[in-house]
Amino acid sequence: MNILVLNCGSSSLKYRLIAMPGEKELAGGEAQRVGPPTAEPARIHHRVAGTEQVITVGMPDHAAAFDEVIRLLAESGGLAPDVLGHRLVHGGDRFCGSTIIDDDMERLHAVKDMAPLHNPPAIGLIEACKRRYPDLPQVAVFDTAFHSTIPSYASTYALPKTVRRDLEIRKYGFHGTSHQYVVAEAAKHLGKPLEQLNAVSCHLGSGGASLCAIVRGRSVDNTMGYSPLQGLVMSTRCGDLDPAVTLQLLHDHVTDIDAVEKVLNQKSGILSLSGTSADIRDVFAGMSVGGKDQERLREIASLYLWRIRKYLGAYLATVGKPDAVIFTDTIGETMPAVRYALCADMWWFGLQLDPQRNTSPGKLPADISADNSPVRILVIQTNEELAIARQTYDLLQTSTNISVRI
Amino acid sequence: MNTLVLIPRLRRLEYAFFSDDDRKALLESHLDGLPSEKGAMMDTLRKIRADCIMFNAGPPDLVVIRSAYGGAAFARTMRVDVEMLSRFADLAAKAPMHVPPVHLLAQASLQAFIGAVVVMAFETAFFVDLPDRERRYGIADDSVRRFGYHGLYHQAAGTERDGCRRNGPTRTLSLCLEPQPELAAIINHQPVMVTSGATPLEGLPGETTCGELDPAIVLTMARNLGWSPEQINNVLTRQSGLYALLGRPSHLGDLLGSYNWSMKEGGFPAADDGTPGAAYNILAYRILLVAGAGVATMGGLDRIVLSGRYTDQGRDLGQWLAEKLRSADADMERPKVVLCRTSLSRILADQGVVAAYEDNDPLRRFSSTTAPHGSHAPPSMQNRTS
Repeated sequence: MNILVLNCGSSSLKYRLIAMPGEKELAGGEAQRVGPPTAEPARIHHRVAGTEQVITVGMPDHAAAFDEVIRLLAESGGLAPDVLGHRLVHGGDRFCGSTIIDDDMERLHAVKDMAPLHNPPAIGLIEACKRRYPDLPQVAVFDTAFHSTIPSYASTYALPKTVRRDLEIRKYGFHGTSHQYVVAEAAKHLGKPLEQLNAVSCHLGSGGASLCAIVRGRSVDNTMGYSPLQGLVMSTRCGDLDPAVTLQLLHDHVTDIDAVEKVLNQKSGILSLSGTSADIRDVFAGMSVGGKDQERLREIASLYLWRIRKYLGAYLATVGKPDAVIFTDTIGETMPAVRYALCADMWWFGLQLDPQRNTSPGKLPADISADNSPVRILVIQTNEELAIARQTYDLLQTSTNISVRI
Repeated sequence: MNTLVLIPRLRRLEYAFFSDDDRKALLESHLDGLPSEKGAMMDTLRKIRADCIMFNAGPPDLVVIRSAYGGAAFARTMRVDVEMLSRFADLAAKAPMHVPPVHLLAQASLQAFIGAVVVMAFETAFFVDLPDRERRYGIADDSVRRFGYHGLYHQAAGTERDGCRRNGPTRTLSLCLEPQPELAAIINHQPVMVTSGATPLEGLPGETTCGELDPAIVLTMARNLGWSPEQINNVLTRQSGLYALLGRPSHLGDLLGSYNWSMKEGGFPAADDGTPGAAYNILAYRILLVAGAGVATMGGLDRIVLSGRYTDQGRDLGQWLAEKLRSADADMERPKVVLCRTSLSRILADQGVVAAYEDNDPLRRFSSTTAPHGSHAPPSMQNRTS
């Protein structure tokens, strides 16, 4: 079964065609600058059989981008999807697991505004695919679904019940697809049944980042909350903030909510602290170069690490006896200095890093903890597209009323 | 020496009177309402002065005023004079609810208690020198910073001797159980982490305050409900916290005191939304989270010190936390739980005495038993000065 995984950004479309159950990637790529014309032309980076080609083509919307992807696949040795697996960022309370798309689109539309940048284009694409290929099965996989197991004592904000109910306010958690994937891989690596694994998963991306507390293989907390804004200091997102500061911003912007949202989502975080780069890797690189900015960059790095460290301690305390701490995504996988700083002086929690293994972890997944470390420290490469393909495949295998062309 | 402590609250003025030879207050009382006009404030202070005289031989020699906010400008308890009051008044824009009434109270105290030394102690002072990484947020404006708002309790907790390490710095989790609870991580006597933020709204949920909140929630309330910032502020500060979780006014002490924390060893028992069980779970879980964070910032834990008006009701909570925060290393000792029962007024009185001595004040003429280095030095000052 060839599953085409589609990951819709606000102006991009990432895709990967994966043959299941063998999990072999047949093709992949990314359509960039989808939407109205920009300074640079829209293009698709298309990878197949180890080679990449860049195709410049106009893509006024995600449906047009999808048409181009289907065309490119067909030209790549007659590849074609049997099933589409869509990533949706937010499923709200309505979707506690992946779901097969049927004719009833109302439930999907009900969660459209819960992730205003990501959900509308993804739902629009699902509808376009239905029109173009009505017989092609489609599955939606939600980032929030893995966190539907977060207990109410962790997901409830101390707000009036009517406000919580009317606005559907609770902690939803994000990056669920990635956390779920690496936790399953960690269980495999440790030779432990997933149902017995306690861990803290650190998804440290160059853009967004979150930590997830895992008890018996299930998510029990996530640093992101009602939205992806809460938690760690991210590339352009502020993370945790005193509610009074948000109120002050609203007041200062004469209640221009969109303007405040833009400040907190796109103009804060590492970008606002450094003034030049939103990428924490640039901050670390600048620190090692020296110069007049060195001290300031050190403070930014310290702030970034401090917030992660606090949540790491918080979650290690809540999961009981942890088996592992998992590092994943761009920063988590490739920055030994970040892992070292976070694990230093954490013996109280049972963490002891092996500096040599940390610096040269080799092929992932890798165990970088010292032999005597009671808690294993793992570096695992995340693969959200494969996770979506797995969930799509599993769902269709258990579903009786969908016929899939093999 | 006679010490008068004044604690201005939103709608009342609490006061306590101490004499030289007793650590217990001779008088603790309050007057409803906090005057906003100088004449009325003077009348209030005259009543208090009369009360003091009734309970003791003479008027106060030292007046200690508690201020909830001192900003970065006031890092210690200060003698009140014209220059100090001028600097204090500059903070009004940052804390418009707190600074003006305290300023008025201080001004009136100078006139009402002629001959007495007047000092001001700040709840935020203990946190002025928080490390940058703790005090800053992930936003461009670096003038927005974190403080703690129960610094006087935390400072006293940090100087408790019980549970101190013989070798190496003592790592303390100080949990202040007031209507707006607050947790601080303290290495020796220096705070390295605190749960409150730019205002006391952030952090742990209080009796009516929301505590930690996704910033997007505030925007959603504004967008979907059409509420103004003032309306949202009212909900977050007066209709949230335990009040919202229980659907009725509630004291933190009642909640803590009525709960069997030993039940929670195996996890959090299921409870329906709106019930005390659910509120317990939410509060306990939040406290455990921030306590774990505190341990991570200190690299370990020697003791948990409870303080505030609900100290005794929090005893079981402290034991539960100590169990949950045991080290993975079996050789490490279980953290000790210490109850710091010193009242806020007593802490303030001690602060005032120390500040007066540090200022080389005429108060030196009084009995050596009140000196911070003397044999009867206030316990909350002993470690600080050693």
